Amino acid sequence: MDWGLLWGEIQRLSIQHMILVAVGGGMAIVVGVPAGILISRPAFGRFAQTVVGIASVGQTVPSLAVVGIMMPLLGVGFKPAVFALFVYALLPVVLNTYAGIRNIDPSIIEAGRGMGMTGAQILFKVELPLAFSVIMAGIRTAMVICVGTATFAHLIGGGGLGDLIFLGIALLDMTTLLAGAISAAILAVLVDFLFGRIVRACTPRGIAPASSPEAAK
Amino acid sequence: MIRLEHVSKAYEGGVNAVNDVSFEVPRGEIAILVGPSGCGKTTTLKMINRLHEPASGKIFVDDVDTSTVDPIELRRNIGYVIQDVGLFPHMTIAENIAVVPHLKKWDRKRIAERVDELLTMMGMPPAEYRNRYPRELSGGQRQRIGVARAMASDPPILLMDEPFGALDPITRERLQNEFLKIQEKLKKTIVFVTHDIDEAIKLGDKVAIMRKGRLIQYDAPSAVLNEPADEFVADFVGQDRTLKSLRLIRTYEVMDADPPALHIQASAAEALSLLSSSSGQKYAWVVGDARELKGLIARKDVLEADASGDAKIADIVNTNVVSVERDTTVKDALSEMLSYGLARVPVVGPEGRLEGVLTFDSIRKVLARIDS
Ligand SMILES: Nc1ncnc2c1ncn2[C@@H]1O[C@H](COP(=O)(O)OP(=O)(O)OP(=O)(O)O)[C@@H](O)[C@H]1O
Ligand SMILES: [Mg+2]
Repeated sequence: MDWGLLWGEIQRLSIQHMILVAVGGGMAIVVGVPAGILISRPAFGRFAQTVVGIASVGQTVPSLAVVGIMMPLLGVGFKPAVFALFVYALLPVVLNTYAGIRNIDPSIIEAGRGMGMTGAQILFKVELPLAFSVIMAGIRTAMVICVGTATFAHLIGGGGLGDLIFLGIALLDMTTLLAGAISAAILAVLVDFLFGRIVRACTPRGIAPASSPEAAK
Repeated sequence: MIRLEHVSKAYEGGVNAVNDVSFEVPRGEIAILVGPSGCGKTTTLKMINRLHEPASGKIFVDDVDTSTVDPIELRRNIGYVIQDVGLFPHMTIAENIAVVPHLKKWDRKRIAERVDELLTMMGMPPAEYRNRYPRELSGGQRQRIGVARAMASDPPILLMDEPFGALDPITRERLQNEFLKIQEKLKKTIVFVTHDIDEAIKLGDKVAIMRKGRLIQYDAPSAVLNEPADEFVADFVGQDRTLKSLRLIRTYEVMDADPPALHIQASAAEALSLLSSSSGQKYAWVVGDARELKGLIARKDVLEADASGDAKIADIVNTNVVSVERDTTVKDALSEMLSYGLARVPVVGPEGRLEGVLTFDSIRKVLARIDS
């Protein structure tokens, strides 16, 4: 076993893996948050329910299937892999953004309107800060799922740690397989930890959980 | 000034929430909307600041038809206390109060000063409360912040939807009294919603009694009590109308003014001449230089003390006296007297100055007048 070579591969593929996640997940955030905001506007009314329904069904499609569907549609390589990740991460982001905003106590929104805040002011100063932790929970879930799903990118030539895992399986080489699997697991834990930290650092004391006994229940 | 002309509003589903309601609130007065749950009070209020648009009819604020005004601009100049308080949980108390001044682009210093001023007015020391979050306050404190927030930019008009709802009777009574004191100074034009007829009678210059979306009677509190428009109003106002009327009368209106008083530095001899058996006086109030109430002195105490030499009033005065403020309602004063078992209470004005005495006898006379 050439440990030096393996270590080099782990590093290279981890970075590739993270790029897949960052680009696919990043696009999901950039598109998903505004989309969630959009369908949370009262003007969308019942249409929003339809979107949420479809999205919820979409979320039950296995990640491997999503990757599989991409191949006949977009071919192989980095781009289809990223696109598959984007599609898969989009749903939790949209759903949580929508739910986070819609679950705000309507009397709070009404107070804002009653004081003469414009729609945009209510969105940026009231709705988004209050929905922040729910939206971030969606993003966190999406990113962690992405790290897992990105291991399938290998199947359509997208690279990433999946290369090691599937190589290990093909060669019945436990060391290579574990090197890929454990690296992917560590990445998932790191991403989860990182987003947990961000949420905690950015949530105002007034709505942070568990900083007062009342909020703990 | 606020004027509603034949205003109606129906929600989807066909409920006629408000049906042909007209009334006018003159500048500087308080109109109270009162009625059973679901009668359309909140809906009426929300049409004034255009959170709801009336289906028909017109609403004027200072003779301007509100449907011609930008609703955002309109709302920034009308303070609004919503029924569920609705403080922003992610903002501190100071930030919550500062919302409208902020929207109006006041500078920081002016906003900070205004926040402190309002917190002080609400009896909540700024240093202690400024940086707390809504969930770190009691329900009553939150309601006060709701009121402070509505008043922040000093709007001439206030819409208040059950601002003192969900409070214990004692706190509510206190906030009501503070509210009247503040209103005395600020003279806002106020539409105030409650479902508590006692609160309506106590606070209103006018009371609007609503039922199933209709305005049944719009009158001064005394008129509502004495000449209810129909059975419903009579029922709603209740049987103990005479007692309720005592809420309409302030202590200073019925007290015996300028009661005899002794200076705290007076001698026992002076006290005795005031309390001589010929005058029939058994007690005298004791006051300081500015006529501020210091206590009470009884003839028998003076007699006892005098026997032992040249006593000063200051040594024998009973400083433990219960007093009421001049604009306490007679009803509150009466319950004070009953709970302490007093036949008379001193009435004090600003800085605790002695202004008069309220006795059972004077209350009895008032009751007789109301009943006749
Ligand atoms: N958004 C709405 N959609 C449909 N119906 C409504 C809506 N808001 C209020 N209503 C109905 O309109 C009527 C009047 O409601 P409103 O809130 O004005 O009553 P209220 O007098 O303020 O009652 P409460 O004392 O309980 O606050 C009620 O029958 C209520 O069910
Ligand atoms: Mg209401």
